[in-house]
Amino acid sequence: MDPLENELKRLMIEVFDLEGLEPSQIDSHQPLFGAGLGLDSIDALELGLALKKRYGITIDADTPEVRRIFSSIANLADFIRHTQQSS
Amino acid sequence: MSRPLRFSIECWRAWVPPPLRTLPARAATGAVLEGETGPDVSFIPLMQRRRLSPMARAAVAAAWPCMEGGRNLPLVCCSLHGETHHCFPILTAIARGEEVSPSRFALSVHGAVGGLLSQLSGSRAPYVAVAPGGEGYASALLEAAGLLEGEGAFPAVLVVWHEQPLPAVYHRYAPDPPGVMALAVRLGPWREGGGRLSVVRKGGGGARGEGDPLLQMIAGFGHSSGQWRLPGLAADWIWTVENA
Repeated sequence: MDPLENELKRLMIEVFDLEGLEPSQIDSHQPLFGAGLGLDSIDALELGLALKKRYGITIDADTPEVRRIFSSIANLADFIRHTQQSS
Repeated sequence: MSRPLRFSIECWRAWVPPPLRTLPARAATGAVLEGETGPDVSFIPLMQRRRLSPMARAAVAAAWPCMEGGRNLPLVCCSLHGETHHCFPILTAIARGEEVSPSRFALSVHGAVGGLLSQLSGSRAPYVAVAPGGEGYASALLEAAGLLEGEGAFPAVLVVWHEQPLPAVYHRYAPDPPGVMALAVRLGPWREGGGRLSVVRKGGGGARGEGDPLLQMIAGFGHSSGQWRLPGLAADWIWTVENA
């Protein structure tokens, strides 16, 4: 498993209080919001805050890319890697 | 002495931690919930359950069995202190210049428990959150009486009282509830026979109560019939239950 993706899964379990869930039970490509993992709009705000605290990354809510970045663990990990490499 | 507020008791449930439970725990219209580690809220989907504080879990667990006909059942949720374990970390974060957790903020409001119950039951009926201050828990019954009387009155109302121990910083300012507790009572208009509750204002008020008031109420319902006095600001409130 991709170490960053695994780290993100652990972060989400902790931040979103997903009691009883293991990282291995979260598919890196499943949708995070709505029908997939089932996160909601407050989770999106909480995730933004957690990413800022953990990785120093701020995602502008008006960025057209936000939906794609937040759509799955895999996309989020790609975005973090890309941002860290270009900074 | 003022006019009493009178209701019929249709159903009640309570949660108190095992060390605080006093017998009898079962009466005609209700019972103290069982459970050693915490109230059973497994009927709530994980994604809604995950953010609930121990107090919210107790309130929902007590309320749920009394929510028959829930789609048209108004709610009155009453807590002296509310979600202090969400509010205090928010205040601490602000004091430190840190950002506030959005989910903590959403759950810190006094109406959080009522909102959740309303969502779970698919209710379109109103819900009210009461922070009764020095007047005490009878304030919730004023709201309940309003919902049961007059034009557009509802046939029943669910009142939920809920508390939890305070963060240590508040202990010098207010009596600390001895544990996570909740009492849910579905009330209807007064009628002869069956379970009945009445409260009336009497006396001077301002006196310190004996023991925790919510624990006293739960014990009162558990004993099925009895009377107890809770202090208010300008008068005391005399509670009487019969065949609860």
